[in-house]
Amino acid sequence: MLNDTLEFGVTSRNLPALGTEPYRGQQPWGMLVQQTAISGGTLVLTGNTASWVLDAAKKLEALGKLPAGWDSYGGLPLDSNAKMLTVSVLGWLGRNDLPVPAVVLGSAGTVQLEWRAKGKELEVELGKDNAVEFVKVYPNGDVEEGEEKANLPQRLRGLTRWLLYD
Amino acid sequence: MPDPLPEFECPPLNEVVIGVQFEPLKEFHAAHLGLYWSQIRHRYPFTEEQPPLAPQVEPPEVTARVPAISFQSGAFIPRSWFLDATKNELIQLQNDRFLRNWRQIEGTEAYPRFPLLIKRFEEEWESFLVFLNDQGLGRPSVNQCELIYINHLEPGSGWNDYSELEKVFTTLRTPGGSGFLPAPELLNWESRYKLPEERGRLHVQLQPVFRARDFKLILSFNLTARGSPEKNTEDEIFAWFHLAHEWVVKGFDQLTEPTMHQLWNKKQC
Repeated sequence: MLNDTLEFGVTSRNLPALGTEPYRGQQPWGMLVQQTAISGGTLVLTGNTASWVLDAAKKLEALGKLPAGWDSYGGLPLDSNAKMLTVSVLGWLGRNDLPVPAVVLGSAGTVQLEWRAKGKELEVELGKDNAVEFVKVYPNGDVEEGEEKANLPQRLRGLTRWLLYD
Repeated sequence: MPDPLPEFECPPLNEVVIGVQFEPLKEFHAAHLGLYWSQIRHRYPFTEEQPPLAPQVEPPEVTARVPAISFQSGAFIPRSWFLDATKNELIQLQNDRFLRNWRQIEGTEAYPRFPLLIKRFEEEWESFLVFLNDQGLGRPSVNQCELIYINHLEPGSGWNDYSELEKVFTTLRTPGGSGFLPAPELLNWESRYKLPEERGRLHVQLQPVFRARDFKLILSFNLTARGSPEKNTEDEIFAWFHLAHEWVVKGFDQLTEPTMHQLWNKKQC
């Protein structure tokens, strides 16, 4: 899952003040929902938006400018579904105090977000089929992989809870 | 003869929403969403399901808002989107809302202009009324109308960062280097204006957004007119929309700078 990717700035700075922002606002709907009459396609940034979201958006903005073949091996530009899913993920997790993720572009046009905290690492790959593949790396080096296709907001919050608190 | 409205050949419009809210149709069930789709599917071949929108009413006097928890009795009825083949246009339907959106998908689509969009809304609304009548659901009692214009302002088009917003807006001047404060990290701005004769309000909102289609950090400049028609008749409903359109367009014109108007090819009257 993690092969053929372009690292775009690894950082684990801005480690969170743990426990300050519990996981609130459970989203009962699975995917890409709109709570307003506007049909969407944007993530609104407010005074409550965590700094890591803004930093991640800036990294993604730079990634979004890469043309096809960016990796010299025919790497595809970002897939439109992957873009929409990525923006949704930032929205679902935007009130949680996560570190700034490393943002990585996969050669299939997917987006990877990688967080590191408390000796653990969480990588999620956001693909064109609206599925999320994840890798959890434990402090002792054990690796757990999986895929989520439903209830993504809750599943992703569960993964970040593992990273920050478990 | 009223003043002609300002007209821009290349406005930064990304989305327009025209919609009505009505008293909930008591006998409207989820199955009716499918039945309605079967009648328009040849024109709107795609569908998506969304959570229902909460009722929204523009009061004559705004009172303090308190957090509210709403409980729904009875079965849950979602909001359905019915999208045309291009996905640029869609109808949104739930048991107390009927909306029609035009939006950009690629970012290059030309704005079809208000006269065409309001005509299409009127045709679809009348067709929906026929559907309701055929199903024995009665005529909806419209209590609110809404017109929303979403403009996307991209850095590099007349401005570069938050320190240069006075180049875009007539009412905004942000710090930017020469004074004590740096340029803002984020910026949100809201204002509201009363429509004449208590016919509602125009809400203006500026907010930073991260756009999915091209991963760009931009500003969304939203103008929302909301209010109630004087009577629940087609004439009054569409008279309200024309008033709302006038306020949205003249408001946009007055709140933005002439130098930006040149970029958007404002027509000389």
